[in-house]
This record gives sequence, structure tokens and C-alpha cells, in this order.
Amino acid sequence: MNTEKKAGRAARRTFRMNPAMTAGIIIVGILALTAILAPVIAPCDPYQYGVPYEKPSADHLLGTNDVGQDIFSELLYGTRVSLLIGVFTSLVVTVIAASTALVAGYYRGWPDKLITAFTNVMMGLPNLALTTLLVAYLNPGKISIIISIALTAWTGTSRILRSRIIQLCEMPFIKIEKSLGVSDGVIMVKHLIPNLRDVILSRAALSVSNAMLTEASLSFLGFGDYGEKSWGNILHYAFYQKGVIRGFTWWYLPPILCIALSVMGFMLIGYYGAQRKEDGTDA
Amino acid sequence: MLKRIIKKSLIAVLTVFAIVTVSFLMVRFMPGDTLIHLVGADRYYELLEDSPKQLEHIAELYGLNDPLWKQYLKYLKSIVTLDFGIAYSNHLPVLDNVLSCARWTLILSVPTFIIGGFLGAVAGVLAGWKPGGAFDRIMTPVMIFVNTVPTYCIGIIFLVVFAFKNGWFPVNGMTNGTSTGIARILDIMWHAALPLCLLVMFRTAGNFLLMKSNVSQVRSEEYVTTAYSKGLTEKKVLFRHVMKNAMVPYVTSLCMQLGSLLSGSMMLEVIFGWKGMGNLFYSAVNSRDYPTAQLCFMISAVCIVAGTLLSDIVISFIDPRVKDAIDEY
Repeated sequence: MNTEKKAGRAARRTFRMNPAMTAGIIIVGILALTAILAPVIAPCDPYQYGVPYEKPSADHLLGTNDVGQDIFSELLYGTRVSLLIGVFTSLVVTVIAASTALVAGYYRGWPDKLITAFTNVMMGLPNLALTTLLVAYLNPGKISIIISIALTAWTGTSRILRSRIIQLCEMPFIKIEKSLGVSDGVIMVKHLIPNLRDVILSRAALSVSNAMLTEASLSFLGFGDYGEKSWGNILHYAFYQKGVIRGFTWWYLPPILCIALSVMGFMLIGYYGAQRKEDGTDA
Repeated sequence: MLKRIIKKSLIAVLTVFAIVTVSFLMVRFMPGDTLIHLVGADRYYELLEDSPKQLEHIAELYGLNDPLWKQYLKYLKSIVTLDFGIAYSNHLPVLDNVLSCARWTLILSVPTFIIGGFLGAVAGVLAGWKPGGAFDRIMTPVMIFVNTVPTYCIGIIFLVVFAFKNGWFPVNGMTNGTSTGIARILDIMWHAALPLCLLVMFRTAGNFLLMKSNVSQVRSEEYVTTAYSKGLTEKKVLFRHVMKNAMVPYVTSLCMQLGSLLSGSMMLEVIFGWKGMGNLFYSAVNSRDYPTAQLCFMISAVCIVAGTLLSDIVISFIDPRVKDAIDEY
């Protein structure tokens, strides 16, 4: 069967990786481990108050902040929040994008026109401004951050998936299935989604990096979840509580590096994943 | 082509309408009393204690006791007449505040647009023309890095290195407020140097990656091979065939960037204390000054829509091949 062959090829392709992607996966793996093991590795409770503005020492590897919380432990716990928001937002984004794209690309006609117009309208909104407005005026918390970011982030993925689905639906194997009377749901789940898997995954990785970036920006501006430690939050206090002006490198530099590195990690996976896909179809 | 432009304009109008509606509904369905958002939390409680009558008067003014559709009509009318309310911060009309801030943002964003657009294009062509060459191998990872890392991260590092440690540039603000004439212009330029450098850097990185992928895509087209086999020189192939085609998506992207002139520099404005649109928006949201935040949001959104529309119109002029294809949105 044509489809099975295609699916098999897709599965084998997954294991061929380039160095950039390997680097991305290693970064993400380390992040995930840190997030899971944060309570085990962290030397102190990040919420515990203590002596403020301490320099790095054996007790506090990266010193303490303006209320005496251990910055190293803050960073470790921050991984959890940043990663959680990134991954969940990406999940929401991918589900919204995939379902709108499936409806638009598979059924065409008026649902397509409606969804397309709606996507266009959404794309016209300034993302960061709308997200900031929403986060500031909704009840603060992780869920409203996820909703606010996801609300504007799904359009790009939806666009790409829709045009891929339209291409796929022109292929003989889908047409045969359709004329055999296979139900729409089965075609979508068994044929369309497996064939789109690479695109979906690489777009999902990109949207994780985007969401982490937006979350960090929001927390840096002070619109994030106040009670939670996140990298943007640490940077916010470093910037507004004079950590940057006094040159406390150990306070502002680690969160910057963490944000940059993790965004880079997911970006590498997404960017090179997409390239690999194109190479695969060309061959 | 006319049909296409009309269609795109219709979508643009629809989008503007959606933006206006979203900002109307947002404040009405926000948790808490709508009036708190409209007059600001501090003033709300102040008025609640001192003169509840005045609060009622304000509610009357916004028509908060009317049914939703009536409020909506009233709101639309106030937008058409450009009446956006009074800012709490200085009790001036919101529109005046926003426009005076927009000027400062343009000081940063117009040079960014021009310099970044030019540098990105030149570097992108150089890298895309000889993929795998020394220039490409050095520039591409650097540019990808700059493009990925958040602006404020590099912004803070620049601030520390160039302003705090070495004192070459001012830490904060836009002028020293005393000088006049040429000295004032020079002073503003000196204050703008750091944020402008950063903005140009990020814009160049984005444009570089775009141009590079355009050029390397066009390079592998068959008509380029044909051009070579006709015996054209390298230069002629580059300028006549490759550049012409690679410029099409680039110009589209530049038009889109025109749309984000006012909203693109928010994070850096906050870090460098540059009192532009982005900073105004930030402090408005921070102090829950909804009328100001709403107007900033609407202006930047309308600009983005206008930029997208412009890019659609420009592309249908410069590239007649673009028609209403199946895949077109």
C-alpha cells in the first residue's frame, strides 16, 4: 500500500538527524530533566527569605536576590514554569491549528472561507500587545497566560497545515480512500495526520520556543504570575531592584542565558526539523 | 488585480472592525467592575468614598447601564469622532498623549527600518549568492543567534557593558532636557544610539535570513541555469535574474515592517526608558489606565493591518503572476 510505504518512510526518516537538531534535543532534554528534578537538585527552598544581596558562595551558588532567596534554586524552579507554559501553550496552539486546518483544508467550501477569513483577521492583531492586555486584565495565573499566548499564536501553523492538507488531498491515495467511502474521520486520523507529522512536530517545537519567549517577556515586564518563579520573573527583579545597575552579574546573567539557551534549543529542533522534512520529500 | 485589491481591502476593514470590537468586549468582560477599568482602580475607590454621584455620572457617560448593543453603538460613535477619553496619568486627552509618544518611537523605528532593510538585504544577497562560502558560514549562525535571542536579553547586556561599566552612553531617557537647537539634536542622537543599534541589529538579522533564503531559492531555479548557459556574466545573472525575483518577497516583508513601525520596539523602549509608544503602552497597562492602553493597542493594530494591506497591493503591482490562486488566503 502506498500509504503504508509512506508512513514507513516517515518513521525511518525520524531517526536521521543533523547535528543542529541533536544539539537542540540535548538542550531540551537537560531542561526537562532539570524541571522534573528541581526539588531534588535545588540546594535551598527558592521561596525561603534570607540575607539579601549575598555574593555567590558555597552556600548560595549564585548568591541571593533582594529578599534573600537563593538565585540558583530560583533558576531551577523557574525551569518548571517556563517549560510548563511553553509546552502547554504549544499543545493548545497545535490542537487549535491542526483542527482548523483539517476542517478548512479537507472540507473546503464555506468552512474554509470562514476559517481563512478568521485566520487573516487574527494575523492582523499585534501579538505582544494583545497578549499583554489580556494577561494584565484577566485573573493572573498560568492558565490566563497560556490562553493569552495561544489566542494569537495558532494562525501561522494553521496556515501552513492547511496548504499541506490541500496538497495531500490532491494525492491519489487520499482520493482512492475517499471514493471507497472511508469515513472522513478515519482519513484524517489515519492518513492526513501521520503524513503531516513532521510538519506538526517542527511547528510545535517552534511554538514552544515562541511561547517561552513571550512568557519570559511578560514576566520580565511584570505581568506574569507573581507567586511563581520563572526566568522572566527573576530578570524582572534583577532589573527593577537594581541588580543590573549594581553589576550583580550572577543575578541577571543566568536567567538571560537560560532563556536564550532554551529558546535556541526548541528553535533548532523546529527549524532544522522543517528543513529535514523538505529534504525528505524532495528525495 | 483590482478585484484582488478590493478583496484585500475588505478583509482589512473587517480586521479593523474586529480589533475595535475586541477592545470593546475585552473591557466589558474583564473580571471585576467595568467601571474600575475605565476610570482606573485608584480613582475608582477614591470616587466611591468621596462622591458616588460622580461615579454614577461617569457610568452614565459610558452608558454602562444600557444594554450591550447600545453601549457598543455609543462606543463606535466615540471612535469615529476620535474621542478616546482622558488619561488618568496627566488628565490630557488620550489621543494627544499617544501622538506625542508616537513621535519618539518614530525617531527609533524609521532609521531602523531604513538601515536594517538595507544592511539585511546586502548581507543576505552576499550569503545566499555563495552558500557555504566563508561569509555565509560565519554570518548565518551569528544572525540565527541574534534572531532567536530575546531583544531585552541582549539589551540588558548592552546596557551593562556600554552604559553602566564604561559610561559611553546614557543609561536612561531621551534628552538631558536643557540643550536647544543643534545640541539638542545631537543629544537625542546620543541617547538614541544604544537602542537604535540594537534595533538595527535585530532587524538586520531577520532581514538577512529572509533575503538569504530568497536568494538561495531563486539560485536553484532553472531560469538561472538558462541565464548562465546563455553566457551571461555572474553580475548580470545576479542583478537581472536573481535579485529581481528575490526582491519580491523581500519587498512584501518590508511593507509589513512598515506596519509595525509603532509597535515593534516595546521591550527595548522599556529597558532604555525611551518614552515612546511601547513604553506608554507598558506604563498604561501597568497602572491599569485602560483608555490609553486601548488606544495604543488599536493604533498599532491598525498600522499592522495597513502594512499588510500595503504589502498585498504592492505585490500585485510588482509581480503580476500573483493572482487568486487556490492556496491563496
